Amino acid sequence: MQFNPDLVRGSVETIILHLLNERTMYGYEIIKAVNERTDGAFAWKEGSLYPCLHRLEGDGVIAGEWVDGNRGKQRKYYHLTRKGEALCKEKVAEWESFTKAMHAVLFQPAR
Amino acid sequence: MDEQTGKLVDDATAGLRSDPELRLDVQKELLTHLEQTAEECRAEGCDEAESLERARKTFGSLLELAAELVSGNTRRMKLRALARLALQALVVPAAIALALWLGYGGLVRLQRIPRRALEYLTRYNVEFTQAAYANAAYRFSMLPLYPNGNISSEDGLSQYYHALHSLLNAHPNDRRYHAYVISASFSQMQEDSMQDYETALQQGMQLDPDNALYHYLQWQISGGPYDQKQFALLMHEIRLGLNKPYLKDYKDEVISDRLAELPPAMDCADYYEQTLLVKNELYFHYEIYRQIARSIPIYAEILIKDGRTDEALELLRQWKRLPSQIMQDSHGMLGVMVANECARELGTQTAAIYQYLGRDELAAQTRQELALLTAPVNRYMAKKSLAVNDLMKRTNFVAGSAGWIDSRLRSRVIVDADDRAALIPQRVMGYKIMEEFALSLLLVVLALCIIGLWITQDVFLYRLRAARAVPILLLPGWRQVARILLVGVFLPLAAYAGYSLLPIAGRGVGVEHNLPRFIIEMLLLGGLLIALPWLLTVLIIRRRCGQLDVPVPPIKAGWALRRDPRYRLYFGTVARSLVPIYALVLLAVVLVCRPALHYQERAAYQQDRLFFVHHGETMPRLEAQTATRLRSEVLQMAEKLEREAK
Repeated sequence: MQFNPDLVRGSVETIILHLLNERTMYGYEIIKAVNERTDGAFAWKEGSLYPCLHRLEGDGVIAGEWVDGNRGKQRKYYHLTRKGEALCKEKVAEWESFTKAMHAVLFQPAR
Repeated sequence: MDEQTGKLVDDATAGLRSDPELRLDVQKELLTHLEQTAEECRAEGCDEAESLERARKTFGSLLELAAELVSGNTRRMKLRALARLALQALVVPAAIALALWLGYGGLVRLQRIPRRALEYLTRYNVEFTQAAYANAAYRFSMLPLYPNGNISSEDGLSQYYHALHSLLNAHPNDRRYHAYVISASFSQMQEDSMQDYETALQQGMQLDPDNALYHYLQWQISGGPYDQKQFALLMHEIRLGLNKPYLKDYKDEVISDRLAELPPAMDCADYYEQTLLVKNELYFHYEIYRQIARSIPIYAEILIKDGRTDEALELLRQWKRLPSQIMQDSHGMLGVMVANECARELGTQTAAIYQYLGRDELAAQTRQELALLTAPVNRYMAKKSLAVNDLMKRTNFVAGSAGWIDSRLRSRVIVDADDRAALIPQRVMGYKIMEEFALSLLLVVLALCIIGLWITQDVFLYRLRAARAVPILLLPGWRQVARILLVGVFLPLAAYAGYSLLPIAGRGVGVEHNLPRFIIEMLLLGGLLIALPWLLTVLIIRRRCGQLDVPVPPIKAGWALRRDPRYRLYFGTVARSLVPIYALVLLAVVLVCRPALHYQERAAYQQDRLFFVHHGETMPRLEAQTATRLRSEVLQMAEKLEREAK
């Protein structure tokens, strides 16, 4: 099923923050993790991940650091800053409330 | 990566070209991603071209990506542009301006001290018993009234004379200023100004009728006792002077007024100047008192030869009067010494004349009185035998305990320290001044480093023109900058501060005894403050250049490969990125060292009792205390003798 692009775009930040809250990751790893967990349902354009990461980095929500990986290859790992941790909690809570509200509207019988 | 992929990344990041470091960073990140996607594809069995094609496709539309990259990085680019602007347009110029102002300005300020010190060292005898008189005459004729002026002027009268008279005009009918100017301008008097001077003396007698000063000055200008009439005139002035209630030149009060007009002393160089100004106020009229002390016995002999023995005895009976008058007005040690010397001169000669007249009892009494009257000062002098009489021991004592300033300015200090503790502030100040000197030099060197690096980056900019590249101004994170400043600046400074407190640092002796070692210490510290930030920054730059795929030369090759075209971008980047780092180092050094050194310097000159004239005072505290004590002892003895005589 293809999702509305606006719906996907609106949830990218929350997804990134949540994943980085679990552990530090680099861009490719984030894409892979999302695809694995959603069976590719979001169909992200991989290029569009980086502007979002950069925006969050510019806002001081996440911080990137180049780290030497396997076979001497360097990768830029991102982690949440304190500000990012707080924002992540906020976003997840917001999403929970939103889905709860949507569920109530869509699936609970009218009184 | 193939050319097509490279072009894709290059085009996608074209909007970031105003920030080369960020652009390289994003390019590397995108390429790493594409590489990994292609690798995964290859693992699935795709060929090279196919895997790259698939990787590129996953990125979506190039135009969309380029636009999103610009919008995603706008805030970051703005902040970074602001940071670069602040570093290049504010921090670097501020650091260079500060280095010129504090560094060069500091050198100019501090060079006043050695210059003045050396000037006086070569000019004056260090033995104060002679200096008190010999220097007084010399200073009086040579040194202008402050503010500094020159000796001669067009009308033949010195600027000093004009300065004195403008002072008098500024305070008309003020007996203090009148006495001060009249006594100070005595040696400036010329034959054609004699009449004016005598008129001024008459005015003084009217303004301050109880003051013996004007009679003694009148006596001095009246010439020798070459005939009876002249002798009578001289005797008249002497008698009037001796019978006046007091002898005052008001020097301390006027100096105090005049010092209050000067801007407040802010540092040791100011206090130093102020002290020299006060020390220059050693008046020639002290020499007049001594001449009177020599003349009174001669006049008594003349009277005896004229058969006027009663008059002679009457004159001799008053022998203690002049020393008491001088002592009463003595706030400093010079006056005390002159009073004591006059007492010795008068007492000895008076006793000899009594002896000549066969008045043995009177002679013995006079000698006894003389011994009692001069005892306090003589005792003080005997105690100071180490400091006063043995020049070599004294020089070693001062040089070993006080140091640089004190040993050079010893001739200006009339009172010697009772113990070594009194010399410590001078010694500390010597080190502080030398450290300030070293700091000023360091600031100038750092400013030159910044300018040198600036020129170097321009050289590499020129060399890179064919490659259409520009040296990158790398912006290290605040943690990295903090680490550079902590390890490269604060740690060496703290280590030096700690070291200088240890006995091994040799701060227990004056800086001139420690000079070779002190110079080595300063060179080492300065070297560390220049080399450590360099080293730490270059390590960061090497790492960052590696992350950005800028070719980095082997670490051991250093600058030997600077002409290798492959490494031009790296060397240009090093030069450009070091400029703001050195500017920050310079500011950190200034912010830490200047206040610390000024605080220590201020603490030292506030503790000083021996040398400096402090605010609201007209002489060093130790001198004032010693003079007050001796004056009180001598005057009490004089009163006691007077009572007993009655």
